[in-house]
Amino acid sequence: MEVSVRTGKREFDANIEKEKDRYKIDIEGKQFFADYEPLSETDGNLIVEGKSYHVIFTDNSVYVNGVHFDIETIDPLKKELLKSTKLEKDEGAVVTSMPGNVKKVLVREGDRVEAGQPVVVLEAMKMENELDAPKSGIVKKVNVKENTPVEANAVLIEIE
Amino acid sequence: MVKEVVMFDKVLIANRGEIAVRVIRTLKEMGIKSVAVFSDIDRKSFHVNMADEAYPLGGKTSAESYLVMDKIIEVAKKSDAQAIHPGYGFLSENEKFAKMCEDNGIVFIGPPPSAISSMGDKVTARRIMEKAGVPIIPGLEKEGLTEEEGLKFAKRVGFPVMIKASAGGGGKGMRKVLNESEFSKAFRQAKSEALSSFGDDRVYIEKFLEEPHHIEIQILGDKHGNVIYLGERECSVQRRHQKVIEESPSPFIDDDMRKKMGETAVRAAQAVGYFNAGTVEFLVDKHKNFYFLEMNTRLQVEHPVTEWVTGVDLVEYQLRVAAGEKLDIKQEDVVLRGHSIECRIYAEDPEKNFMPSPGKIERLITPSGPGVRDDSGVFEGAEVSLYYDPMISKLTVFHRNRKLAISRMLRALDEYVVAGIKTNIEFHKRVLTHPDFVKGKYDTTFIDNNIDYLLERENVNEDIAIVASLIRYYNSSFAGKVKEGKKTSSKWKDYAKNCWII
Repeated sequence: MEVSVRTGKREFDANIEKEKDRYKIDIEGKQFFADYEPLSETDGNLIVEGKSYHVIFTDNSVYVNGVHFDIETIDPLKKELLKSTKLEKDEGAVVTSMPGNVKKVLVREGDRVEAGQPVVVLEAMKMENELDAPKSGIVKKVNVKENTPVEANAVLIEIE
Repeated sequence: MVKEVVMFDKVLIANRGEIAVRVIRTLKEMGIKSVAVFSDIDRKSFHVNMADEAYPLGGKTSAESYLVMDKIIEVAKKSDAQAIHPGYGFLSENEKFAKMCEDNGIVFIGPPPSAISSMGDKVTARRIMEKAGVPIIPGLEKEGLTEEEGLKFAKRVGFPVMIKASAGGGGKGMRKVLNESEFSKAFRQAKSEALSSFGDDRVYIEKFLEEPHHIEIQILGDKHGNVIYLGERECSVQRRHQKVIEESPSPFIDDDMRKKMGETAVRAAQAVGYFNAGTVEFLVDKHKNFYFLEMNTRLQVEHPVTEWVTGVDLVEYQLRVAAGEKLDIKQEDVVLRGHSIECRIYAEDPEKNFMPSPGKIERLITPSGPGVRDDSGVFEGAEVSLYYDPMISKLTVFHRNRKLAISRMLRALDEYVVAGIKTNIEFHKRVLTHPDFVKGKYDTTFIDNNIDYLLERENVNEDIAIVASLIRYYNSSFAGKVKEGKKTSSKWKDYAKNCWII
């Protein structure tokens, strides 16, 4: 079975087949024979070339011996489909990865900003965090007000 | 005739999270009933489940719950608790609350209110310490300090300088200013942060020391005038003035210096008539000059490392002293044995500028085995709330020397799994394997100076993670086909539910 894989740095198509009790896997020309044993809904043990690994799956991530990895696996056909229909990613969006309270908005619509310049101060868990402009440009839209809560993944500011 | 000291039957813990759990554990060992209080957010939290009794305070934020003195006193009366343990943070260094306890016939497990107010106000504390012959850092402290006066002083003693909240502690309302151009912004920020954290915007300024070590002395005093010191804790691994790793003993100081600092700390405590456990914090420069920084009139987060090397349960002694017992440990009984290290496990993402990472802990495996202690406030399935501090646990280890303690900590961190939210566990591993840390040659600039190295990830098992993800994908597609005759989502849980079919 062909599967498209994407990690933080790598993107490639891999292959996985089941042979008797083990899996035969091809990753960028490297071959792995893996014995996988589920232990619970979330946990499993993986033995590859005699080495034993504790694997944990959550909805979006995999942990190997407790260390977190973000790995996307998708049907290669679906990936092509997504590519052709997906809108170009908005690289000028200032997005918060966590919910919090907008403490300060440091720019106004029409302001010129440099990449890396702080544009919003977000407060969460008693800490203040500065969110920076992802690119240089003009502030097109400010979607938030000071002292208002925001949800995770909200687009706070758009830069053109 | 010596009056017989009667130990409490029931104690209320005016706190949450790991420290509430920590206190409850000792209460149980002493046969004392525990009373928990909780906010609406904390209904499902660990400390509530562990306590003998639990009462709601209502509210979400700290200001609506754990900081509401009237409500806590009311619960103490209703539940017949004879004493209140404030933990750290919240009301632990609140003179008004300590007095309120007194006025209501409840024992506040802490120092006398006067010691809290003397030490809690940094300006007053510096004055008292100076009088008691405790060395202090050159600084400017005065009522109504203006930006202009501050800048003038900074220019006189030379940059860098520190701006600190008078009513503060724990790094809040604190700013390091490198040069004149940064001064105005930093001054205003420190004031506003001081106001929001402590309800008091007064700040003071002092000279910044070179290659400073943050080393603190644990003291313990009773109500009969006895004060002893229990060695030091090296707390120089800090990020933005928040401690990350602590150890005892400090690799920077020797027996002579320990004695000097310890005796100075005892003098500092006696100068304010102190009883209870307490910590005198010092800054030590590269020439081993030490200066009084502040005194924390409460139990410290990092107290377990002292407990490991001294064998003293500090919470037990807080209770004994509060009940009026005389200290049964003399200074000469205190012998430091072996080495202990603490790693604070924070719900944060080091790769995203240490942003807090609240959310559900989907999977939790805590380390155990020889010489390992995990003081945790959470459990698997618990929700780490964005309303409170991001520290979820303190991991401490003990071994007979520093080198072995580091290996033990690395082993324990390897065992530690927190899935669902981001933590700084990998960051700790990088610190503990950094050559300077291994040699014990580090000061408070360590994290800032080595941040790139500390944030690097080796990703040694990335291929294995890919292998695992592919197996999950393969099985979930396959399971979906068997069950529904079509491909379904690639969620692992779908596979797990159907794995019997395969």
